Amino acid sequence: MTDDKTNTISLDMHRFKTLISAHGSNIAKWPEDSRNWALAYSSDNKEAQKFISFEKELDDVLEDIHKTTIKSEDFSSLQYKIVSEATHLPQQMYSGNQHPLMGSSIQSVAACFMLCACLAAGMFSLPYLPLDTITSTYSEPSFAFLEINPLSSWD
Amino acid sequence: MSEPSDEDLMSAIAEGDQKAFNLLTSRHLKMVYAIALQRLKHPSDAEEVAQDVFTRLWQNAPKWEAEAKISTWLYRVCVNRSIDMLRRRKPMTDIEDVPEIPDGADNALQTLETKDRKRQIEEALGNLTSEQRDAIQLVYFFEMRQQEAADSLGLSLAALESLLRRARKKLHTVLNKNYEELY
Repeated sequence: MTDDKTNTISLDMHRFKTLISAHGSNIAKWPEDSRNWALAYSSDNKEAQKFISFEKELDDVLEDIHKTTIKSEDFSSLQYKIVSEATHLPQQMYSGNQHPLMGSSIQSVAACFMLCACLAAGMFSLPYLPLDTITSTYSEPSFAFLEINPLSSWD
Repeated sequence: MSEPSDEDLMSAIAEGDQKAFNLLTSRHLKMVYAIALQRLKHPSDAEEVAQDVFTRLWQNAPKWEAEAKISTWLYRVCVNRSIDMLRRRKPMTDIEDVPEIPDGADNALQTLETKDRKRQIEEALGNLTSEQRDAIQLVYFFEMRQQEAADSLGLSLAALESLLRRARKKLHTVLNKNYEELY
């Protein structure tokens, strides 16, 4: 019985340490499903409170840094600039039954298909080209051409 | 009357509602600016990125599909635009790298200690990975829900917790030497 209780306590403390080491001292900012449990657990647990004050020291400094860099800034002029300039620009429309990525995918596939078709046409038409059009600059037909063109009717 | 959700505002923006755009901008501007500033270090660059991010949001609102959270989309676009700007940027002297000269009026020992701790943590923040810094910003400062922050960073919830834990541990080692002892 005592062993069970000790195990429960250490498991709870382990869970508390795991959570506080990631989410910091403010239990209100912890994941929702752990908040009530953590509040109840830490309310009368001195060791848990020791962890809270340890983590609070870091949170206070972080909050201070955040305040001086971001919170003190006045964003109203930047916000005004963004809204006034952006809303002068037109919005991009697309028809509702077309997925934005779908058009580009179809175009890519079509382009690939056309490229393959051109290559295939080129390969198959080569044997049927008149030999004199290919070797017109030479007085003798090209020997290399004969070698790579077994379907040729030239003899 | 309850506040309209981000999704409600996006629907209105898609119809060209400027008030909705103004409200959505006011909700997320600090977060976008902070994420950009953290990467770029220059306020004017961070402002430029923020402006670009919200302009894209306005322009693309009619194409918006309600599958992703607005904050997640804003975060990702902001990070990508900041990276683009860093690539474009020419090497220059960073005026913010020049050490701050202590103010003559603030010479109380406690103030100096606080300033020193703050400076140390600022330095330690600079040594975190950008993913760790973003996690801290989103979860602690902008109070984004854990799941939303995890989605923004493209992580699982467990991975986000682990990221935050490692970041805090690094920062603690600057403030307290007895982190290992306590944990």
